[in-house]
Amino acid sequence: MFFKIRRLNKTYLVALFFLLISSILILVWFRDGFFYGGGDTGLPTYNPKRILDITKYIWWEAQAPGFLIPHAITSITLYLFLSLLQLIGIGTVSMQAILFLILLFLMGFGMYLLILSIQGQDKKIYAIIGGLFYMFNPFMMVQIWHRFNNTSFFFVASLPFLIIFWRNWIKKGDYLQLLFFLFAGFLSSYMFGTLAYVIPFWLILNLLSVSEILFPWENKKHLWKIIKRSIFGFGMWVIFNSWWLIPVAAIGSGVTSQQHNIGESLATLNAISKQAILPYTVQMINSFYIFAQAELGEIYKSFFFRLIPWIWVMVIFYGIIRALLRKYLAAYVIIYVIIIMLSKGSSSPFGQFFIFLFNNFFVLGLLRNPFEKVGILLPLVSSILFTIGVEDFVKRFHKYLGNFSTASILIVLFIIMGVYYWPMYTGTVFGTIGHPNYNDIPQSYKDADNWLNKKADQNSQADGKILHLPLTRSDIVTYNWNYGYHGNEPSALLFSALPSISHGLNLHRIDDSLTALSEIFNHPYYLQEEKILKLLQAFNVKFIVLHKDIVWKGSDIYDPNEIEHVLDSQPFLERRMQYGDLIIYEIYTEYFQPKVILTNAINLVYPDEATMRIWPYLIGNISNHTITPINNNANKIIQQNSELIVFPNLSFTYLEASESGMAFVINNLALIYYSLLGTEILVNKEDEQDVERQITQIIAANEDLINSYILMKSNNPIQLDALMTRYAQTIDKLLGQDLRKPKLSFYVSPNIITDIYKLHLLILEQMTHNLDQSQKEIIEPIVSKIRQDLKSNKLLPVYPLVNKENLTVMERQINQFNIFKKEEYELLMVNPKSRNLYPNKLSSLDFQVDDKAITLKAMNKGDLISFGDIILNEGLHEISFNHLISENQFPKFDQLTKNGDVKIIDQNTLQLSSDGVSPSFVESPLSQIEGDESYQISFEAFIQSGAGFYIQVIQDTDSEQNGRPNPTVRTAIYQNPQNNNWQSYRIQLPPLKMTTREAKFRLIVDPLGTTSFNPPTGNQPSVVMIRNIQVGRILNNSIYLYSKPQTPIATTAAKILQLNKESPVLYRGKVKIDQPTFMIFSEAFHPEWELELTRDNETYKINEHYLGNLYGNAWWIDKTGEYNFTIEFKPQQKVELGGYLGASGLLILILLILRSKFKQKHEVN
Amino acid sequence: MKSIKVLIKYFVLPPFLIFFFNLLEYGFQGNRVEKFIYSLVLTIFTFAIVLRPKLKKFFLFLSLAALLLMVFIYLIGEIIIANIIGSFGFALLIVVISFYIPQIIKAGYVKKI
Repeated sequence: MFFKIRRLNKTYLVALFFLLISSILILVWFRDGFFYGGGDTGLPTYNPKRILDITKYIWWEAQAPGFLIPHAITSITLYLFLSLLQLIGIGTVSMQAILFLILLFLMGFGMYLLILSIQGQDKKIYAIIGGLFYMFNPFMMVQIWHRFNNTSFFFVASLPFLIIFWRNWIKKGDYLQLLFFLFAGFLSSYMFGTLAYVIPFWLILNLLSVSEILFPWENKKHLWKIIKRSIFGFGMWVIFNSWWLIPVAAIGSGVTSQQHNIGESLATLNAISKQAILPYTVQMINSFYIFAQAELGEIYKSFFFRLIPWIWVMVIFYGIIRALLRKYLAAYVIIYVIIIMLSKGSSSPFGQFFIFLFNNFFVLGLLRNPFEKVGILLPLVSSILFTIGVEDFVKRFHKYLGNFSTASILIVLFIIMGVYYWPMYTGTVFGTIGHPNYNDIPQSYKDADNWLNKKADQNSQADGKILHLPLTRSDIVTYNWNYGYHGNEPSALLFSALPSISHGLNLHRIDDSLTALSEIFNHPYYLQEEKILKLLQAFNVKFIVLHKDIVWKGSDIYDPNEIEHVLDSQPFLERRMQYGDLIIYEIYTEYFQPKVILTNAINLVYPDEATMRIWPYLIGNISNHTITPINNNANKIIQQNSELIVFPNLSFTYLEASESGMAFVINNLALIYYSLLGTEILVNKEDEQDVERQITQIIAANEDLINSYILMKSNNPIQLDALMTRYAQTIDKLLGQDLRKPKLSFYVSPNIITDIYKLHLLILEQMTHNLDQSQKEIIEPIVSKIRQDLKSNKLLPVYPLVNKENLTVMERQINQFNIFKKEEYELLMVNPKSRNLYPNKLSSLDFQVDDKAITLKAMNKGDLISFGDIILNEGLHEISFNHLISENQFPKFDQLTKNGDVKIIDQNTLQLSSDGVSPSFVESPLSQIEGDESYQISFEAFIQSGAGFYIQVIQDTDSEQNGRPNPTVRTAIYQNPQNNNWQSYRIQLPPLKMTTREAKFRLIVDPLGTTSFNPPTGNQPSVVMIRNIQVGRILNNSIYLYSKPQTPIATTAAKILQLNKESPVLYRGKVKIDQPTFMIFSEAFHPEWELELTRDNETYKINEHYLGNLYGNAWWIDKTGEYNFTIEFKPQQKVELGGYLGASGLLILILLILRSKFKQKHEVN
Repeated sequence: MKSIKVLIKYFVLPPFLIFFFNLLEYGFQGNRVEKFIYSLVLTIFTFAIVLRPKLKKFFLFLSLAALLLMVFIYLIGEIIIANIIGSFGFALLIVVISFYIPQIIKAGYVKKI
């Protein structure tokens, strides 16, 4: 009988069957001799020995300037195994093939064993079907293999075994099974590299424990037995895994909270839940990859391919009904329902329950992508129900159709289902159609690494870092290798000689500094060699590797050819080698600065929380290292500085307007009003009730305020009272809610909410001058509440504008400085070239310092504009200046580049028309571009027909699609159905990219969006008239304060006598200090880096820990004499502690096993 | 005692179920009448099972029929409608299965659907 083949009774033959299936897949996947990589995981199997060296420490020195990543230590078991393969000479491709073969085999065979253990040992054929279903289902194909999330490979491969051992443990109480469970968990600990997988892991185990207790209920004794075993098992798991759990629990949460916040998480959850609605979740399909992106092919959108998944869904649901009727299997129906409910996140039905859990339990915040994180359990439970469905189908139908026909029907159905996984058989599951995720790392990388290793070996201390240029501030990079590469920046892995500074770390403080390092080799800084050298020294750079194979357009990096010219001209750099597209430069020994130095010549720079993107400007004007107190604790070192550099604690813009500027204010509020009307329609479509209600209230408040103002001007007091009362009630309700938080913030940016409040405040303040006492009483509490809101969000100036003569409307840049020390400070502003764009070349500028208006003369001083000295006392000071708009950057019409149907109506008016298909546009270049500029555009427009037009700034750094630049700075002007006539606009465009050097301003009518990359508005003919176009650069340059040294710069009277790096987290050395000094350690700042001095068996911990050179560590040592010193990253000790705990747990378990064996033997005797 | 049970069954349970389903689906929106329709329908089905437990089987097949309908509507490309019907079917399935839980606890399975 087909369904009772005897040969299947031999387990080894079944194992061979799964091995054969896995081997066939592996042969296909690796037939071209390339390994796979890219995306989030980078190159995980490229050089395991290197990765092992990095990941055994929770502080990643190799990813310079250093990065704390506690959970990555979970990968050491994997990389230990892969390192052994590497050691015996297995290459990268074979290594990945072996790994994938093992994982595939474990998936299928593990599921086979699990089904046998659940359904009975006589169900071998069904268990094989279940094993195959577990290997081949849409979740495995898309979420596991296609997404190429390596941690999930281990999760799905190990889970069946872990469940078998866990079930055996809780049922039998056999300690050996618990040991197997823990050991299997240890071998697959790599899966917890994605911390969120702890949740589905314990979710399924706990569901199984509860099932064991409840389904069916036996007695209280059984209840307590299972609870005790479950708790003991969990406790042993915690102890056994302490080596990674302790560091993660102790310091991991701090890192994750720095990198993410609940608002972003909730936004992600909601967005992903919309892709995981029930019809997709039950099919185990990720609609984004299968349909929206169609990464596995357009064919998946066809009717036939959309039909196929329903075959197994039907079988699973049939299995659900049958499982309900079978003892011990009904529990899996409940488990399935729970997992479906959690996997679909916040989507219907009953999605609010998930949001409640998500918002109220911090740990569940890790489940931002529930379909990926909890849905990973779906294939497992579905496989169990699928086999039940198939088994019952066979039982029922073979009575009527006979074995042969039943088997034939099943085989045909399996073949149809199998067609769905075509990308898995062809190997196209990795990457997208026509673009496999092959990695063919150029030989030049190996050659360059070899050369650098040889050079590093010559230096016994192996001090220094490799700087990779162009330096991206994100962590994603694209290389134009054979087959390309797009994913995590892999230089730290590819270059093993020294730590690599190769990308941003998503930590504000460090990334600010890396931004300086990214910019310094380019216009406008590149001419100043001294600046470049200082920055390289501050980062302990020894070598520079220039990657000319990088795809730089469209990202945040610079043209490598531009950088090559700069590097070639630096006197302190030697161009040493070129391998393919890689050029290696070395800093001459005499210019190289070691990792640990002692110095007294420092500048005090603060506050630490400021955005220090102007570091490149700063560093050109000071001569010393910078020290920054953490949390403004500068008391001990305030006298040590030679120079003081003070950044604003807070910098924001604030709109001021007089009565004559009210038309502008009202117009701006009306523009927001119209835009909110559009948002309200969108929100209504998306059925976001709460958000819709809030937007409706905001719209109503805006409308009532504008109408109140109009009524006040037209002297209509009766209607005005009623309207103002209604307005006051609505705005009061809105102020009572936090409108800057999710979910509203997903649709209306918090900045818009702030703008609304600012505009309301301006209008209300103007209205108070014209209202009677009773009317004032209505709005005064509102004025007070809005002011309070802006104040609590740090968006309200402390000092009101004092010089209001001739004021119509003006935006001020408010800068609040916390001054530690009374001094004479020079007021400095960045970007002197921008002066050329302003009237009188900005010979002077009006400032308001606290409550005094002053006019200061401007003078160029190197890379800065100096506005002279001002005396500031200790305490908070506010310095503001007007956001001046430059002279008009929009040329005369005859100088414009014109395309399409463009007519000049008169000297001020243009007409752009489109037949509904072809775009029409005008362009003109913008001058004096340095990067990061913001522009204001004002004009009047009359949209005679069509939906509207677009304003764009085309930058030389924009990415290109089909040979056309895809602009990132753009805005749309849509027809206002309520006012089809000339309308005035004044719009501030988002800032240009920092890397931009050339830019063009463009007005475009493009109904289909083919040239403008805007959403198509339908192929309707469009005619737009635009007049009085003014394009002006906004003077929003950063300012800071500088105080000259009051005392002569101290000479450093201290010396490092010896320095040994014992590991990336431990440095020891000897130091001789004649007078108190700073020690600077060029590794990224972390409060748990500790410096200890030892002399005569006495140890002194140095507590004065500061930020050195704006990213590293610095300590103030006020002791003198000769000391041994230790710099250590203390949290690494927690890993060791966890290791000891795990070992002791293992020992306890072995003792328990021995005891139970002894007991058993004793009982037998 | 009996009268209290009747009181709870007929007067407390239905509003509680409406509130409960509305809370689970929308986070409780008392100001939107149309949002009560979904909760009301589920409440009617749940209440019907409370009154006539034999209806469980019928509602189980009704929920599966809704899920089947979801498949057809999905295949003709009406994803939003498919989701609404499928979500309702699945919600009903949850309600029905929850009424089988006592049986599953007692015997480990459902003796008769």
